Amino acid sequence: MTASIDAVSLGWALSALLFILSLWPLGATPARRHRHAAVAGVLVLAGVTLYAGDVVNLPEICGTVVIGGAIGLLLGRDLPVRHLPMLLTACAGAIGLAVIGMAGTAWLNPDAFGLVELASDRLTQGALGALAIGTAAGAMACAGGMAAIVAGGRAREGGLFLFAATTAMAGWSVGAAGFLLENIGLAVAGGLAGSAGSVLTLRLCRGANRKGLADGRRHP
Amino acid sequence: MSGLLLLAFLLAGILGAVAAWRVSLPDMPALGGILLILSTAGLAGALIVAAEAGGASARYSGLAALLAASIAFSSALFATRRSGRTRSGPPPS
Repeated sequence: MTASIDAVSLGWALSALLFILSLWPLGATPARRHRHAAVAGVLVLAGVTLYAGDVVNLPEICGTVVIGGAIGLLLGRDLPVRHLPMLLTACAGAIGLAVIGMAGTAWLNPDAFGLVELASDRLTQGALGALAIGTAAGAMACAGGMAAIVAGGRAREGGLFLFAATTAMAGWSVGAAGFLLENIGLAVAGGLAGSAGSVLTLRLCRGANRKGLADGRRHP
Repeated sequence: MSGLLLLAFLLAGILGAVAAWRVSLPDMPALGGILLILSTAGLAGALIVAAEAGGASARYSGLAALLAASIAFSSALFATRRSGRTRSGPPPS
């Protein structure tokens, strides 16, 4: 048991380190290396999760991951370049959708995740707060992704603003999921993405000759 | 556990804010791509709920979350790569 806890803690620490390295000041090293560090962190975190968790339905999970990966591969490789900003924003929306699904699962079956008070047989206040924040932020990210899909490749104005805002909301929702599931790796990734995305959104709004959020559709 | 979780979250938030504050204007799209990949860490959370949920409806909800997260992860991976190539342009001959 102790060895298992140590391995999980080590995995969480490694993934958190990789997440932090991925945001190491840009410009000094190529952006490609930062992306690779972030991807490695996500894969380490997923591997630790599978190692530590009590996996009941492994074939269904593997099938779902393979199907989702294939769909994402098709979208990411074959979509025309002019639609890439729309796809990136829609990806952030899909993360929001995933967090809404996670919150729904936790709501339907709270006993499996230890979210129920033993005395009153109700959800704990912390779990309720994390569920509410995760669902709200996920819904906002989902709305941003839908807006990008509806706008398609037509509206180039404010594309980066919408992308940054949607990514920030997706990050906050992932952070809330980290609190819900008591997962440090998720909380670190969500905190990094949420705060950095929010600051990026504010900087895009407060650029030269701007009036704040109301002026967000203009180019930086 | 909750204290450590909160501390890690707050430190990560401060670090992310500083990183986004210091980034230069031309590097903003690259930072956005990295942040998107960081957000796809939600894949791990989807794995947890899909693995541990009992009952039919909760299990299908967890699998739907896992499907959305895995689509987002793989498409973000390839799309940010293509987007980075487009920004940097063709290599000099």
